[in-house]
Amino acid sequence: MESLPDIKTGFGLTGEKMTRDRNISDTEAIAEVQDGCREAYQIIVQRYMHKAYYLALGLVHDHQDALDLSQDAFIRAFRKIRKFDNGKPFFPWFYRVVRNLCLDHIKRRRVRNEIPLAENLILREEDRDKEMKSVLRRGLGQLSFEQKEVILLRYFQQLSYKEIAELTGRPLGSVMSALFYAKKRLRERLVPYLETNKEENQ
Amino acid sequence: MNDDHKKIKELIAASFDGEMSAEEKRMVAEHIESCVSCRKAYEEMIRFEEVMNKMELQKPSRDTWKYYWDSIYNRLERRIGWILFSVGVMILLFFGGYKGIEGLIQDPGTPLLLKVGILTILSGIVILLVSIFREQIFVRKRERYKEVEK
Repeated sequence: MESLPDIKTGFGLTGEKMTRDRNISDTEAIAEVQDGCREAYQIIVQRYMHKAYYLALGLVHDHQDALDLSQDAFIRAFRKIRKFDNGKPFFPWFYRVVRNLCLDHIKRRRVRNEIPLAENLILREEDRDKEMKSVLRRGLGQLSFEQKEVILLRYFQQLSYKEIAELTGRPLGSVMSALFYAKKRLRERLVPYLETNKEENQ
Repeated sequence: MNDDHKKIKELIAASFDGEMSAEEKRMVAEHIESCVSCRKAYEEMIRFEEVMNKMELQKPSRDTWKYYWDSIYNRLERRIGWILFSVGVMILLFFGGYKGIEGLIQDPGTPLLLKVGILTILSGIVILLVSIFREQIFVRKRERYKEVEK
């Protein structure tokens, strides 16, 4: 569960109620939403908005599109919330909504490999290394949607194989295979560069 | 033997994701002691993981999170408003359009099929106009926001 932002503006829950409600579980919040309390949905949105945005950003490579798609996903999920089985975890269900919207967006706009990832991809501490960033950007841009998805879930969300399999609804073997080949493709691009870098460092 | 190398390389990849058992770890450790090729793959993997773990996506501005919920709430609230507005505009446009061709429609000499055709075209034009109008509003809003972000 992600920590919630301190700042609350505009509509919805405020003050003491907001603070108290930050501690309620997804199940309790969703039960309230299913009973018609629209404001309770704010808890769910603020709990998962970062994950939703970054997943969309990793898949569609554009800030504004990622923002719109992640918000669209929350709106779509809200409209289907009464059909959601509240005995099950919310995020895997919601993730599929985000994923399908991103996939539709990519198919519709044909943005795959066309919008550069450079502006959205940074390397912590070593952002000075533009060459490596460029190599990574090109490598990621050439992965299939499924390969890019597992890389994002593994490295940006730090999920295990099992968690990725549960989230995407794919068999464990399929996830392992996609991750293996995605990493292999990226490594093939990076290794010559890393070897040069290593020699330089020695 | 090649199968062994393939298996070890798969295990090496898995080891960096924390997905290897103690027995598999032992098997890999023993293998890379004596196999130059797999040891090279292991070292490459270490460096690869270092790079990948430094990878991050660009953070959006603070305002993105500040207004995130408000934007969703507004869109949920406004949906019914947009539906009513669109239906109202369509009725008015259709009424205006109909008034323009009322004479032709009410003329008993006009064939029924022609009347149906004209009314269908008029309905289509009205729906398209409202649709384009709404699209323009959303596109303008998005482009303005993009400029703010830059």
